Amino acid sequence: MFARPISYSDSWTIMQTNNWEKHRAHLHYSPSVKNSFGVILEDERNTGRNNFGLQWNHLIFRKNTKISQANIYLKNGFGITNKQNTENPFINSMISGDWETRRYFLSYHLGGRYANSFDNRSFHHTGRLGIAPYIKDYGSLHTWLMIQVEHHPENPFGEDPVIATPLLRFFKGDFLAELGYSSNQHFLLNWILRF
Amino acid sequence: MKLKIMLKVIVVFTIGFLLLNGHFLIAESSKTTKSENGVVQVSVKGMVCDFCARGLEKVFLKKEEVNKIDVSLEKGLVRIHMKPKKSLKDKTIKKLITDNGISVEKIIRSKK
Repeated sequence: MFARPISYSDSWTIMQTNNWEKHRAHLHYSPSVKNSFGVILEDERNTGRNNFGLQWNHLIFRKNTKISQANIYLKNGFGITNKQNTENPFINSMISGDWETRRYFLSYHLGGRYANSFDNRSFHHTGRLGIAPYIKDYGSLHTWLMIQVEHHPENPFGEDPVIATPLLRFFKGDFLAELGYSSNQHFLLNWILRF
Repeated sequence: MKLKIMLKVIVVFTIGFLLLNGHFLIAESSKTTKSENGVVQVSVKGMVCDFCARGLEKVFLKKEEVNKIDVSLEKGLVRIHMKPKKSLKDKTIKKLITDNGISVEKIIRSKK
């Protein structure tokens, strides 16, 4: 879900993520293909933190060819994080890149967050590789087989800092959904709706 | 154990879906690319998924000159069907497409 932070111009997007780490909802508006502005709600499963923030996503590079598209995005946000009825401000910054054809998909995401006081820093990076087993044209149901590998070097819960998640992506028109199961035995369910 | 069961479910689901869909490793058959009266064809770059195509469809259908558009991801082609006696300038078409993050390669108009 890291690779599509901006929609087409003058459109709204709802993105929802559920995985081993958190439940996350992101609503954003894209005035152009270069920027999107949105709000984020997060419920972190392991840390017990709840976050509310604002996020700005910016397309800093795009390369189009006849058969592919490559992008680099910068994502910055700030907000309030709450844990055990104590609130603190946080800021986060992420950079992500993707390259895709109609057959292959590759992405990388690097992100970090600083929250004053408790659990004050987090850092992770994630890569994804995908292949479409069949190719159909616009308006059809598209399917992707993907593998996602995350590295959380500061994983504070004694778990393996590397988590792999094989997943299926289904994509049709304005709707995209992903279903997977991670190596630390949690379901992944993500979806995006654009309107 | 739980992981194995889950992997089996995913594999069965995927195979079932692919069989139902009926087109494993087969691209959609080709369509004509000849220009017709009232139709502007635009060859584009970077249009690799439905989100890209959807953006173009929405922006063109907001224009009063446009009747409908057809998009072929396979050919990287956008066919804009104009309403009778209506047209859009190349400059406008190019701007609408590039503003959606897609590059224009060539605009082909029908000969009158």
